[in-house]
Amino acid sequence: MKQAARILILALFAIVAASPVIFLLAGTFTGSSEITGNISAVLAKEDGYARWNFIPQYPTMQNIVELLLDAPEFFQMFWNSIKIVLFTIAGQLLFGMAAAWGMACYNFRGKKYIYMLYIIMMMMPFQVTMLSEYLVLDKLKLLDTSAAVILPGIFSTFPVFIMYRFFCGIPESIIEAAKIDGASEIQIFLRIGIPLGSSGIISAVVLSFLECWNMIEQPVTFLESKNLWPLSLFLPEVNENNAGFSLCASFAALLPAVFVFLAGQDYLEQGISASASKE
Amino acid sequence: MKQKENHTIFWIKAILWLLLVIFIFTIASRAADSFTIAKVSIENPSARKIQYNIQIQGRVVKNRELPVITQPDILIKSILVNEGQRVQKGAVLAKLDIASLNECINSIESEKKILRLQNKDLLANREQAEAQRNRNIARAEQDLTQVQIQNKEAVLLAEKELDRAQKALEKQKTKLYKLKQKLDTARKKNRQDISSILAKKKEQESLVSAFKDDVSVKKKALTAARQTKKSEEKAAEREVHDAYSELSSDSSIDINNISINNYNIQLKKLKKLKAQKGKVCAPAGGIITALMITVGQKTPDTAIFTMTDDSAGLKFIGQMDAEDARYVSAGDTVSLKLADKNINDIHITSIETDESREFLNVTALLPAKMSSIGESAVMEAVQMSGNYNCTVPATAVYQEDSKNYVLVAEVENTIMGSQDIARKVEVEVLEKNNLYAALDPDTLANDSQVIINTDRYVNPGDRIRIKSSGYSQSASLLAHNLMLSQLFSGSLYSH
Repeated sequence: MKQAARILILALFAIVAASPVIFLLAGTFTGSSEITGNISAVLAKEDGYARWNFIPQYPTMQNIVELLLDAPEFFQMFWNSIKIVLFTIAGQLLFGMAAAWGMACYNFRGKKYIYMLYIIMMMMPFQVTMLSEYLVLDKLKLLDTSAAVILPGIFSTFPVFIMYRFFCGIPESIIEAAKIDGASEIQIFLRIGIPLGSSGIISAVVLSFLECWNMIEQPVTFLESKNLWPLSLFLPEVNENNAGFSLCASFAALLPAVFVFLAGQDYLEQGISASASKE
Repeated sequence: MKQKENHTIFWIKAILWLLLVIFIFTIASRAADSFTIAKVSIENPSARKIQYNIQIQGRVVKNRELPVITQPDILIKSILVNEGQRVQKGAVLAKLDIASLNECINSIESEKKILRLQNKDLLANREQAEAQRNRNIARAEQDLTQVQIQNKEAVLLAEKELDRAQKALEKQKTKLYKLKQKLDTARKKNRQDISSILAKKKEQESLVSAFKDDVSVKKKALTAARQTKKSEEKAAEREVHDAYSELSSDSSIDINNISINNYNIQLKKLKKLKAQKGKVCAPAGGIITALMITVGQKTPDTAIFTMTDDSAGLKFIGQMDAEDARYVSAGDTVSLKLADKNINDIHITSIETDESREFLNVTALLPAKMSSIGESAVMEAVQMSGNYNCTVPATAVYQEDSKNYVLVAEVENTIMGSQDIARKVEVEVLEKNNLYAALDPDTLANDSQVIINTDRYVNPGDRIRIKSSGYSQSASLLAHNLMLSQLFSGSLYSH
């Protein structure tokens, strides 16, 4: 009985937590006139309160058809997001993985300070580094290019931090044995470090994907050309006329992130727990 | 571990499938977008003159109509023409009855004779009246003279009587004066005869008084004589005056003479008609437009036929909208399009307001024998404006809330990359015809890419696709030709 009550309470909390996604899903299949009637109190500033039907009164595929066939801008921005995410993650794997391996496996002077610097950089919000990043990118003539978003993302400290934690967990005896067997440093990194730290690498990839997929401030600040904007900037203005379409587009934008999350879900849990553990 | 990998692979495959689906719909949405986007033709504003082609529908009518008139009250024997028949000058139109003609001549001659006799009588009467008048004048003058003499004598006589009485009075007054002096002397000297003197004096005073009355009577008689003279002379003068004005004017003879002259003219015409054996001939070549007589009736005193005059030519009469009046004026050189030919270089004779005031009647004289009466025709007038530096096709100019605007193509950086967008630019239309509109160059730059033709409705801000220049020119030419054909078929383009 106690168990059932606990489950019921947790289920209620779960529904509350998942309600935005449920709204998205319901709104995707709701017609414009119904949505307008529901939310006009908020968007059109009419009297009364906004209401929402979890199951649409008149379900329709209009928003989906409009999104799929009448919104080439959505797909242009989708592929812009894919480009930014792929290049950023590829760069992070190339540079961040090596940096994390270096700090995890080698002892050198100032290592502790560099690690501290990584931690500090990781904790700094974007707004703090925005101006300096802008000036650097301007000097490099990279403003209003995709590289203006990708390059700072490549050198993000958070994936390095996660991968560092995983690489630290590799037993030294295994690395020593490889050295005795005549393995070079590159071979040790490729044959031992990456396979054993794959969980951390994947979790870093998943978290980076989610971060890059949802980034808003960086493209708004560094990208002036609209044709370079990522999907996170789609439909900046929602009104009662395009609310259904906006919800549908938001739901569609959610899908890749959900799929990536589900694909790396197991590794992500390990990554989050690793980032939470003390050194 | 294996289950974990399978789970990951499953969702990675799902991501790949999702990307594949997204890719397919990327292509599909772009294809669909290419169907919905408007394809437009553009053109830069150019310098040109605005040409107004005014077309006026109308028909060819006679320029002048002649009446055929003959003598009235003559029996019509036969009519030799019909309405609409073309006749040459001098052609016989109708024949009159000779007997009726003779009768008419005789009648007029009788009338003339009567008038002459009347004149003779009137003349005799007038002479008689003249003599009587002269007599009356002489008598009146004689009476006046006589009255003047008689009254003059009477006045003189009265004057003499008065003078005599006055002298007698003076004489008695002198005597009285002497008696008064004598009395005074007697009183001074206290003489005994005072009483006798007083008695004489009294007697003398009564005499003076009597003579005074006599003078007074004489004065009245003189005054009466003078008044009589005045009144009688006045009456006599009136008589004289009346005698002079007694004869009233009488124009009967003159009137009769005028009538006789008119009869002579009629007789001359009738005799000429008689000499022509009663034939009524056409005064000019032309077409009989109306017959006002029938056989067996008598000729009226108005026209018996009406006919056109070939020598006066034809004219075009058409109607145009009053608002087109500013493009056409009297004296303009225009061309006329007939069913089978064109007549160039004709001039507008007059432009008059129709009774309805919505239309104007346009008239132009045509050369003779260039057309036929009743033929439909279209007058074409071409008017050129001054040179404008900024003109665009009229199809490019739209109107909203009494404001004119054009849509210009501008390149804009959008989510889909650099794209052409239709932008609204408010302009001021200086002049406009069915094909082109002249704009204020301050409101539209000369390098603007003005949208002149589109395959669907374009709103400001809509994305557009610009047709290739060759195709654009062809489309522009096609639209231009289409508008011209509409213009010549009479349906004016309305924006």
